[in-house]
Amino acid sequence: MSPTPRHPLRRVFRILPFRPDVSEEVRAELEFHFEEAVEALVEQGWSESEAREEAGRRFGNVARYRRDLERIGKTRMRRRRKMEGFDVMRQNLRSAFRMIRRRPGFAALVIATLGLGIGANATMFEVVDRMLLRPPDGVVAPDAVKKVYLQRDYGPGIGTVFSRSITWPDYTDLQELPSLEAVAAYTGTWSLTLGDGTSARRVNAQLASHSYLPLLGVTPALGRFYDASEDRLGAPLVAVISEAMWERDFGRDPGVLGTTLHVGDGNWEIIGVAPRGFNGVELSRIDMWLPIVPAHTLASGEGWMNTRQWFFTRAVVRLADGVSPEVATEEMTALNRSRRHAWAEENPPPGAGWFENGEPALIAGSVISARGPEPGREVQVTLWLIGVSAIVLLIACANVANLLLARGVRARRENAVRVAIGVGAGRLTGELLTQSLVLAVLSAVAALLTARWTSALLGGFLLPGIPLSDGLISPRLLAFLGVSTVVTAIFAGLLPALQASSTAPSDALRAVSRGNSGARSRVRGGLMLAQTTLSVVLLVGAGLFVRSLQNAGSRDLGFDVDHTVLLRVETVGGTTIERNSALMLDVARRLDEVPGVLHAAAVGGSIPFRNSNATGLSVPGLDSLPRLPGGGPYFFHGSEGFMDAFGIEVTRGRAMTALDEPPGGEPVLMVDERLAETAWPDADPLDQCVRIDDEGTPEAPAPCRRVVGVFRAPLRFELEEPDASSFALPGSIGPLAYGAVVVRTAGLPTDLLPTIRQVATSVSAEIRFVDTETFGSMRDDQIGPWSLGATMFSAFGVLALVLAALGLYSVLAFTVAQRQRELGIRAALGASGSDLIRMVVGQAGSFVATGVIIGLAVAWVLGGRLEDLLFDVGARDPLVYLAVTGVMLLTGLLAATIPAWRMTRVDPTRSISVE
Amino acid sequence: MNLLQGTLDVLLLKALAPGPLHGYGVVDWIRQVTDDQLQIEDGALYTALHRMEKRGWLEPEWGVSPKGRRAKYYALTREGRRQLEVGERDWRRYADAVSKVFATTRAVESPA
Repeated sequence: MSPTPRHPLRRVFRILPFRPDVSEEVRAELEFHFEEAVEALVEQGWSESEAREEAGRRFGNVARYRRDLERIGKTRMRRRRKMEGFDVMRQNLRSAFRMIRRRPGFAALVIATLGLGIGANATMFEVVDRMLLRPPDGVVAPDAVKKVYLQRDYGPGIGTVFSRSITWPDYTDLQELPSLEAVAAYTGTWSLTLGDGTSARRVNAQLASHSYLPLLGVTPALGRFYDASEDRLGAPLVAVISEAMWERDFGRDPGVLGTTLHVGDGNWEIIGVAPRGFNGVELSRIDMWLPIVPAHTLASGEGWMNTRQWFFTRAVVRLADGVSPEVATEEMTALNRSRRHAWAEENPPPGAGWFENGEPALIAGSVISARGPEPGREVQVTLWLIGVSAIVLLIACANVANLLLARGVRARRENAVRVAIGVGAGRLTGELLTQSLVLAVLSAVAALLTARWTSALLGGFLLPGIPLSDGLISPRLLAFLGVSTVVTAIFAGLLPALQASSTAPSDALRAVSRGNSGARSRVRGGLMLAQTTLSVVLLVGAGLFVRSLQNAGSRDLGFDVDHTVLLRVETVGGTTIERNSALMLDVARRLDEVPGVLHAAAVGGSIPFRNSNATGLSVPGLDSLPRLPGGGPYFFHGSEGFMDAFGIEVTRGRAMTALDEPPGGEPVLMVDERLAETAWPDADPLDQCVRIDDEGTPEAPAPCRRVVGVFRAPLRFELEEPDASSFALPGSIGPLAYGAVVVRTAGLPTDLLPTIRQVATSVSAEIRFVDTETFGSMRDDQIGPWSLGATMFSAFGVLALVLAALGLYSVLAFTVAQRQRELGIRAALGASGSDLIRMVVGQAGSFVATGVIIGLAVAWVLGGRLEDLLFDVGARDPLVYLAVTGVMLLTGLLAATIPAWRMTRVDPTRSISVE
Repeated sequence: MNLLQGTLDVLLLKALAPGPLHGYGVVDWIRQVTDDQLQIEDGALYTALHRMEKRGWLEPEWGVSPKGRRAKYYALTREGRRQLEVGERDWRRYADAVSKVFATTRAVESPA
């Protein structure tokens, strides 16, 4: 007879031991005392009432003593409960470790599984913490600090765009608003050359107004920050360096103050060191801060101060007490619009277009850029990855729950015996939960160790150049790990614990030998199904990102992106534009002779990913060229063979040669296919005349340039961008100076970079620094989100797949073991080996098939939300669905192989007679 | 008659030395042995018993008395037995010292 089943949760609460009532005990003890005392007195001849009185007298103040006794009793109970708690915990821990010692393989499997799950989450946490949760280090009262975002509508095709760059007058306007306690201007990272000659290297500088550091509430570790008198035109040049630079370059020497650094075009005196960990309000590493007015003037002249067209500065504001971001946004926007309107009236041509598609707005947004109005694709992918890593942990939990359940079945008889001899069900639950907690803690330790390098890996991926942590384990990460460990332990351990403790002893003792556990295998099947489903969802995500990455990576960019290098040459101060241009040509000629270089050319104008220069042109017979959504026409120009150096394809006519170059050459140009189509839809573009507006003067119209060839234009900045037209000119003259050198290599260019830099630097003593960048790496920056998505989804997806396969295997293996007797009978009755195999494989197949169907359905529903993050692939790509189905079925088959093989080895006589 | 600190505990432990006994039995035994000379309230004895239980010197157990009533029995724990030995030894040493003093008369030294 089995006891009535109780609600499983009741068992958990039964962990608390039965608590005897102290007052009741005292009452009973005293009652006994008085009964005995009175009886004894009566026997000695006292009357009943006298005896009662005498007993009371001898006892003393009963109420007071009773109170004393109760107090003592309660203290005693408390102490004992605590001791018992410790005792139980110690025993539980001991039994958990005994289990690990006895079954090290099993424990290792569980720890590895959970470790991977927890590790994935710890890694994601570090990234997300830095990217989304933590305000910039060192900033005081960061809630009141807001970044200014410029919102503009660019009309159909492009839509609303948020940008962080505003103009200098836009920024200085903000100083007038009383709702802003402080405003500061700063720039993105400027990569400047530090030092000269061979020891020259690049440092990351941030130009910032003198109000920047005080606004953030930062106090220097050494020296002082610059003030208003040093942040104006003509001020002596001063700089503040980061603590990391102080340590790295100066060994924390306090004598660093007063040292002068040759950075960019100036000599800057170090007057202060920023506090440890302070990096400004952006994530990328900053080595030094320079006062924005002198620094920007030194680099760009003075034109930037009074125009509302030069968008180079960013702004950060601190809201006054009680001012909401909404109010600040409203006031900043209103002020900016009125100033912009006034300015547009004074400056009709450049100012007019500003309001074409609606009024702009200045928004006070989060100081954490990823939480600003328009987080980048990386941020969105990261948010997805949080979900993905949580799913991986869930799968790991389900898997471990499954393993523990299987173990629970083996331990069932033992547990049943223990329950039968009076070990409380609560005790058993506690013991099993302790076991899974110990396993989870060990997993967390393993996870922490792996997370050390995985987050470095992932951090380099998601936040390049940004240290996630300074090598220490942050308290935040530990807190996260603590919570996720406990949650994991409960997720993985609760179900098995409840199952084990709900075992009705008599049932279990009878049934165990028969392996009858219908409900249990249903639970395990459910867990298994959940794992398969989640794996399918992750694999679909992985597939979609892999396809996006493939599409983005293999997209034809209109030039030989994989074999080209861009050189920027920095000359010593004082060289003219013409001299500079001539140096580029010299560099290109020298590089042309380097083995492994196919061709090198000096270029100006547009450069893919980096520059886009447009100018007006006119075609005789056409009033105006049709405007294309992407703008233009953009122009390219370069020394002989520059199209070949880029690997741009000439589709008609010929490329330009040295003979075409001015002075002396015939005025020619090349047009791209798009320009050819729009200008001469019905005629042959070759030999047509094109006039470039800038080449004319009011007196003399621009000369006719003859079209000698048609080319296919390379991309401008983005893998996906609106249509535009372009053209190309030969050589350099006047404003068309060379600004860079393009090199095309025979093999992959990376190995050649040191040689290229060395040869280029040696061309002239006037060259201070040569910077090389492969176009491939520029492309990789752009496809970052997809490669991030593809890599992480794939990693997590494969992890999930392995875990699911393991889970499936354990379920099948267990089923086979459980059903040996039945299978043996079947075999004895003549079922062939292949029948039995078919049975097991069929079971695996039905598991997997169900999981695939549910998983694909879930992916189908979720897919719509992923669409925006993909590249050239639908969120419900049939190819991906098909591939995932195939992979899952194959995995299911593999997982079924061993159990099936074992089945054929079932010896009927043995398996029947085993009992 | 006043008892020195801790002595009461020793008396109670002594009462329990032969075997477990309930509170009334302890109280009654002490009263009989001392001819009711100690004049301690029964409540105080119970308080001392409970304190010693809290300290772990006594292990209580509910049982049934010879007359068929439910009673709380106290038994000496190992620690209780040790405390009894220590207490008894200290007491004897103390009593010895005191009785030696009373058994001797000081020789008279007359001033020179």
